[in-house]
Amino acid sequence: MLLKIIRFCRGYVDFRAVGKFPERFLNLTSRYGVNIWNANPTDNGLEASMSVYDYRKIRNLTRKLKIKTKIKSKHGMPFIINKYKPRVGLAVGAVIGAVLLIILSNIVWSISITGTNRVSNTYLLDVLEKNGVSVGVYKNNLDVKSIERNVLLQIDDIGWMSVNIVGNTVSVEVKEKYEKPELNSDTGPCNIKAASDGVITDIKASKGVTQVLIGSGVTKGDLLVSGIMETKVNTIQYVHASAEVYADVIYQKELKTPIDYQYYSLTENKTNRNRLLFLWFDFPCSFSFETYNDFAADLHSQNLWCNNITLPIGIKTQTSHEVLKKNITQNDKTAKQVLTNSALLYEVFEKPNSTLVSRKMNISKTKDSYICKTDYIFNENIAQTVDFDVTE
Amino acid sequence: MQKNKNSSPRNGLYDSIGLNLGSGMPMIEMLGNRRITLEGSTGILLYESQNIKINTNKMVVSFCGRGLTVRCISNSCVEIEGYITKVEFIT
Repeated sequence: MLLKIIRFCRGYVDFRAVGKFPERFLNLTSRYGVNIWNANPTDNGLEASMSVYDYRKIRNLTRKLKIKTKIKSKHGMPFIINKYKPRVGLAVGAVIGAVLLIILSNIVWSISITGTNRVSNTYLLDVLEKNGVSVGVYKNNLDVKSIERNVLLQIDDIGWMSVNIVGNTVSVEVKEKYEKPELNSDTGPCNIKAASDGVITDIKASKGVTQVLIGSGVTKGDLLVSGIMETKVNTIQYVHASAEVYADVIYQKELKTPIDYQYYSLTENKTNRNRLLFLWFDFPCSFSFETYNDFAADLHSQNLWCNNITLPIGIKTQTSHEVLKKNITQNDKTAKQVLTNSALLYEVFEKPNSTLVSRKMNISKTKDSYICKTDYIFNENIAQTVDFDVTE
Repeated sequence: MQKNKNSSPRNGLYDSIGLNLGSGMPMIEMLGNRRITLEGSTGILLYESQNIKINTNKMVVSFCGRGLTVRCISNSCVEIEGYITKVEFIT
């Protein structure tokens, strides 16, 4: 096999030698150190194979022996190269292809992350990039141990990680730390105190001694339900006080809206610009020269995906939406509507567990804005668990 | 330092049976009747598909058979392949 490869690389010819004494031809070639193989005798000569170099060398010899040689077929690399000699581009292309192949096979093409649950993949990719791992970097420069150590120091939630370079993919395996179990702190002795000023409307005490009555007013920090209980044998028992104490609480909220403001609205005009992504390069691949004075842009990229690996080849589309700037001046009616809506939003989102008892809105107009001062009364649970003081 | 030609184990074996390789005798190695290697050739005298005659220092060795070919040839060694029916030593 090896011999065949060597012969192929050097190139050889199958030839026919015609003459009176083919034996002499064999003897002389062997004496001159010319290798002949597959020598088959024919009627008036012989057929054999010989390397191209030797075939050129035996020309004088055949003339001396009065033997005529004729090539039957040519084999090997020199003939193939000769055949494609005029096509220089082909050879150049092959060389460039080989160089590209070598370069690209030493570059990170994609990063895959497995095992994340609480830690965001985007955040982890960002941290990895800060440590030198990103698409397009030279993979032989990556110091895996140092990267692992740095990422573990930077992200507390990761307990163990392994960075493996498999081909052109960096595979990151992560094991997150186990969360600390929440300790039950509802068992220690404590009091219930008022979280804010108000008038008590309802008391639902399941454990502890109630210290206030319905209808009484309390201020923030007043003791509502005590955790110190007296037993039947006149001894003191410390318990974990538990109660829901509802009270009417007064809140004040000031909302503001400007009289004149600018408002941006989207029009139907938009422009798409595509860019071709390849590793760390991106090339524009669409022609659109339309520009807007004011626009909002969104970016959207799609990468090729093969066998669970995201390849660094794709298209990034930037869509520019034209926006129009409008100057709006509010009147009393629209301002009231806006402020009422804001007040409703405040009630829904900032006081979701409270019941609205009353709302009193007072809208006033200044030089440049409308101001709404609202007095609320919410009925809400003001019970707040407070541990015993040392003095208690 | 020159190495003694007769110091190889093979020569030692021939010495033990009273043969001297330096005497110019050809050494013939046969693989059944399909392949023959002849060492000590001084040239091919006849080359036909049914008969190959090889000259050596002391004699002419003739191989008869069918489809005889010279598989490879060097200065003093010839390898013949084919269906050999007869080996003749002509002195």
